[in-house]
Order: sequence, then structure tokens, then C-alpha cells
Amino acid sequence: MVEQVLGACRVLVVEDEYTIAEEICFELKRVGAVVIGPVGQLRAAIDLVRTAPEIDVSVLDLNLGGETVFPLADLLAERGVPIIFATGYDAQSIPSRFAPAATLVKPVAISAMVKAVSSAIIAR
Amino acid sequence: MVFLDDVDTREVALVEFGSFVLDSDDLDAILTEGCRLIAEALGTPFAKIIQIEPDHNTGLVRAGVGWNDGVVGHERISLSGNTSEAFAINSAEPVITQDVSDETRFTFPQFLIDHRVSAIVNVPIFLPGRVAWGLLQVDDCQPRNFGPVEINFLKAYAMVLGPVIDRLYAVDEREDARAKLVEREARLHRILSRMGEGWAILSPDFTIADFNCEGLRMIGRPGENVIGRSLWDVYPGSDQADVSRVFKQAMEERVAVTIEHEVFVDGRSPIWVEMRAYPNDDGTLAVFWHDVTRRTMDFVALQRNEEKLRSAIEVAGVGLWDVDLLSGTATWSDEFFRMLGHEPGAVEPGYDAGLVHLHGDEQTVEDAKVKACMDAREDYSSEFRVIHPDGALRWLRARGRFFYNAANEPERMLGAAIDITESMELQERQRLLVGELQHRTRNLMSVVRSIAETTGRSSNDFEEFRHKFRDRLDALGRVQGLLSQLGPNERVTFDQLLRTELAALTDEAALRKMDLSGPSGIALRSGSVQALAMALHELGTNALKYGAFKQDEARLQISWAVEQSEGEARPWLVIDWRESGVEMAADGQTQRSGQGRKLIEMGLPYQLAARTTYELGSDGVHCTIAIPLPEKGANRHG
Repeated sequence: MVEQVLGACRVLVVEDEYTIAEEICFELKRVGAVVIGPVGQLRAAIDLVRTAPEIDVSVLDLNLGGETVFPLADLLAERGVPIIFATGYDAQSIPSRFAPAATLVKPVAISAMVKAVSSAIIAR
Repeated sequence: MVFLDDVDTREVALVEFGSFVLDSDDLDAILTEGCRLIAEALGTPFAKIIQIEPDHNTGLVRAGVGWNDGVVGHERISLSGNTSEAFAINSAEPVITQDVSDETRFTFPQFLIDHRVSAIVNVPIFLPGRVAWGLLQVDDCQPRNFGPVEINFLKAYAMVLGPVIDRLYAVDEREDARAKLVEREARLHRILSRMGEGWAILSPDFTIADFNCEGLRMIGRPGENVIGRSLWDVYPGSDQADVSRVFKQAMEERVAVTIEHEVFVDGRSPIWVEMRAYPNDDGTLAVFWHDVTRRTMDFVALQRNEEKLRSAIEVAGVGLWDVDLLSGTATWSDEFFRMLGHEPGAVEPGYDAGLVHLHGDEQTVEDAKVKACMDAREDYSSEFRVIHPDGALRWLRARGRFFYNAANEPERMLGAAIDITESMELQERQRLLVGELQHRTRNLMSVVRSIAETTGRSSNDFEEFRHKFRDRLDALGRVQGLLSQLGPNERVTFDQLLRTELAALTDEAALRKMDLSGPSGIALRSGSVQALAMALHELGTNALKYGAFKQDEARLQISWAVEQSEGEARPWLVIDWRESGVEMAADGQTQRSGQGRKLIEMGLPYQLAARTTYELGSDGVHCTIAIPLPEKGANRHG
């Protein structure tokens, strides 16, 4: 039995690639998180965040079918939700206004992601 | 005492002298003859004529009789001291010394004492206008009292001598002047003949009056061939040439002219001469010319070089500027005007006039950079953006060099610029491409790992994992292959994707069991290709294992069409996968509702906003997949 390190944490997952989203969700659930999403499109993700109850932390893919996730990130930052970016681009491609956000470079090691999510929740 | 004979002798002497003077133009001969006649008339052993020298301080014994050698033409007498000569000239009257040994007023020159002179008469000689010219002297060796008749005779003689000397002087001076003129002319002619420049004199009718050696050498002709002949005969047909036109102008308008022209001489390379013609007072034309072939050739070579350089600069698209740093004024090449978005000459060039074209903050940045390089005595090198008047933004790469005056102040900046907009855009595109490639690779790695994870979870043993994983990676590889072959703005089409996938999964026999129908060339969004390919792969694999490809009676019909519902912005690709005649195994249902089904039912809607159905019928699978296509004309890579 895997340790439930993220017991009942509400984690928003935004990732446009189905197989990757599926894997992230699987792993997060394994460590006890409650996954909100996953969502693969910017519009849908913004709608979800606007209507969703509390979100503890968010894991965001940078590129959603050609659109950047930044409008959503702005919305989350406004609400004080910690952000973890997962990107296939260089970390430099993230605007400085999201400086406190953690950045994971794809392919993201699951352990690194879990650790980043834990840290974000503790720091909160 | 006066005797008639004496009077006769004196008169005769005067008459003889007058006659001699009429026949002679030689002053020295006249003076000597005068002395002889006087000495004879007065019965003295000596007579002489002294000429006042130009400094007026001395008198030269110009002529005389009775004297030893070394007196006439040599002895000089002081005219400033207390000599009887000086006294006579100053008083303008004859001065008589009866006996030198009794004389207390004057001192006497040594040569008189050497000749034992005892009595002397000095009579001044005046030219017309009472200009003192010299003295007439008679000397005797014994004390003698010269009487008034004798003195008057001498005075008369001196009065005759004055005009005679004056006349002969005038003749001498004319002779002198003429001789000098001749000499000067000869000298000038020598100079003109021998100088290293051609020279000729043209008469008003263009007869060649004179021509110097150098000129003849240059035209390669002998003098007799040229001098005395008409210019138009020496050079037939030349009266219409440019050089003749210019000469005619000089001759008619009496103005100086200059012309450069080419001279052709048989058997030699043509030479270029610079000719200058000056009108003379006498109506002739003086023409000077010299060889400027070397200078002309150098100039032509220089011009050609400059032309070449200019072409090279033009071809290279280099814009040039030259700034006077003290005044801030500048000159710009045509290309530099165009680089700043202007027609050549449309604005006033200058340092500041150039700077204002720079983009925003770059004005201050580049200005500071230029000044820093200038102070550090380094070349300036930079890249910046300029804004054209029409708003277009261009990148320029510029280099500049500074020049300093003797006081070490920077006085000039030469610079060159090229437009690097295209290369900057290319760089930017490259940067984006590399970023995109990196993104795709990393994404692909993530997908591969996710496939491994999900395949692992759904496999019962390693052998099963190995097969499934390998097949899925192969499918992924095929998609990447299709995508990587695309040119810019090209898209993968559905039939291409389908055939590639089926060809990989089945053999010829299996393909015969299939019925494919649908239009070809339906372009897919790049972002859709991979997910759709994986879905087709799952359907195909399942059919291979359990369904349509495996059983003899089984068939597979795949049809597709483009549909666009009213009110929808995008067309849809609707794919219908229908198996028939498949005998479904008892456990088939569970076997076949694995990864593939999940991908179609959940993955495609998630990732592609697809609408899908998946049914396990009694004789095979029936699956429909509808995915949105790119809007018409849209080329955006998803």
C-alpha cells in the first residue's frame, strides 16, 4: 500500500495529452490526492476553475493544443492557488510574474511531481 | 703770349676734331683723338679725359695721350678730397695750377708726380642740362702760366665734347638695349626650345610659326614638316576636332583655354596631352602641352576601381555614412537612405538625423555606445532596429571607424551598415523551431512513458507487455515518420494515415477482406494525427487478433466522409469502422474492452473533442469516430 502523502488534497490537473493526463491522475490518486479534472483545453479549464470548489494546488501543462496556459495560471495565481508547471519547453519560457511557481520539465518524473505538489501544499 | 700761328693751330685742331667726330661712333677713339689734338695745339706732353664714376667719389682716366701704360683706363682720382679735379667739378669752372711745387690748395695723385707733371689745367665737361660728366685736363712738365685764350680754347673744347659724349652715349645705350633684347629673346627661345613641354606659336591664320623640340618629339615629326605650314595641313581634317574648336575660340575671343586630348602617332601607343593656349598681343596664339598619359590612365584606373567598388558595395547591399563629428553633418550613400526608409536625398543626412530612426530606447543605447568607442579609440560594431516612416521595422548591423585630427580630437566617423532583418527573422524562426522540437521530443518521451505505464498495468505477463508495447511504439514511430516528412504548411491526410497503419498491421490477404471507401486528401490537424493514429492502431490490432482479419468469413468495412452541420464553424471527419461475419468468442467482450476501447471512448473525446461510439455487436465491432477538422484555410499547427 502506497503512503497516502497527499491525503485528500485537491489537485487540479491540466494536460492536453490524454495518455499523460491519465498517468498523472493515476499516480496522484495512488498517493491519496483528489484529482480535479483532468482538463485538456484552456476554455474548459478556465470554466472548471471558475466553478470548482477549493483547489489546493494545480499541475499545468504549458501548451494546450497550441494555446499557452497562462490565462488560466493568472486566474489561479489571483486565487492564491499554487502552480506547478510541466513543460516541454525551457523553464525560461515561463513569464517572471509566475516566479514562485515550480517548474517541472517533461518527461516529468512522478516522484518529482509528487514532491513538488507536497512542497507547494506545505508552503501554502 | 698769343701768336697767330697758335690761334691757327687751335682752330685747325677744333675743325679736325669736329670732322673726326662726324665720322666716328667710337667714344674712346673720339676722346683719345681729342686729347691728341689738344696736347698738340697747346704743346703739352700730356692731355687726358677723366670720367666721373657712378659713385661720384672717383674719376677714371678714360682717355689720354703721353701717359705711360697703366694710366689710361686704370688710374682713379679722388673727387671727394682736396684735389684740383674735385674743386673744378664743384666750382664748374676751370682750375689752373701753374706750378705743382708751389700749389698749397690741392694734393695730387702719385702718377702725376711720377710723370713729373708741373702745371695742370682742369676744365669740367658738362652734358646738355649741365650734368657734370668729367674733366678735360692738360698737363705740362714745367711751370706754365696758361693764358685766357688757352683757357677759352679748352673751355670751347670741353663744351664741344659734352654733346658729343651725350650723343655717343645715347647710341651706346640703344645698342646696349638692343643687344640685351636680342640676348633676352635668345634666352627665352632657348628655354622654350629646350623645356620638357611642347610649345608652339600659331599665327592668326593658324600657320605654325614656331614649334619646340619637345613638341616635335611628342608628335614624332621633324621641324621642317611642321614649321611654316598650316595647322590644318599638318593635321588634315583636324579643323573639326575638339582641340581645333578650342584653339579657334582662343584665337577669336582672345581667351586662354585648356583641353586634354589624345594624340595618335604612327607606331606608338596613343598619348594623352593637356594643352593650354594663350593669346599673344601680336595676334598669335602660344600653345603649351605636356604628356598626361600616366595621370589620365591613373585617373581612368581609379575611376574603374571606384566603379567596381561601388558595384561591390551595391551588390552587398551595404549602406555607407560619413559623419563630420565636429559639425554633425554627414553624407549617406543611396543605400543608407533606403535602409532608413527614405528615397536617396529625401532627408538631410546627419548624425542625429540617423539616430532618430532607431527604435525607442536603442537611440540612447547606441548613442552611448558610439561615444564610448570614439573615446576608447575602438571600432564601433552593433546591431539595432530602425523604424521606417511607413512603420516597418528593420534590423541593421552597423560598423564604424573614427578618425582623429592632429589635436587628437575625433573629427570623422565612417560607417557601413547591412540589413539583417531576414537573418534575424530566420534566427527567430530557428529558435522557435528548436523550442518546438524540444517540446515535441519531451512530450513524446512523456507519451512513451505513459504508454509503458498503461500497457504495464493492463498486461498479465511480460510477454504480453512486450508485444503490446512494441506494437504501440511502432505505431507511434509511424506517426512521427509521417509528421516529420511534412513540409511547411503541409498536413497529414486521413487516407494516408489509415493506409499506413493498415499496411503495417496486415498482409495482402487481409487487405482483400477490407472495403475502404471515402474521399482522399482530407487534411488532419497536426495535433489530431497522433491520437487518431493510436486509436486506429488499437482497432486494427484488435481486429487482427480477434476479429475481421482473423476469420475467413469476417469482413471489415471502413468508410469516412466530411460532414458539416448547420451552425457549426468546423467541418467534421466522420469515420465508420464496421466489422461483420466475426464469430465472437465467449471471453471476447472482456478481452476487447481494454486500452483501445478506453482510448476511443475517453481519450479521443478528451484530447480531440471527438464524438465516439464503440459497440461490440454479435458479429464484430462497430465504432464511429467524428473529429473536428481544421477550418478552411486555417493552417495553424495544433
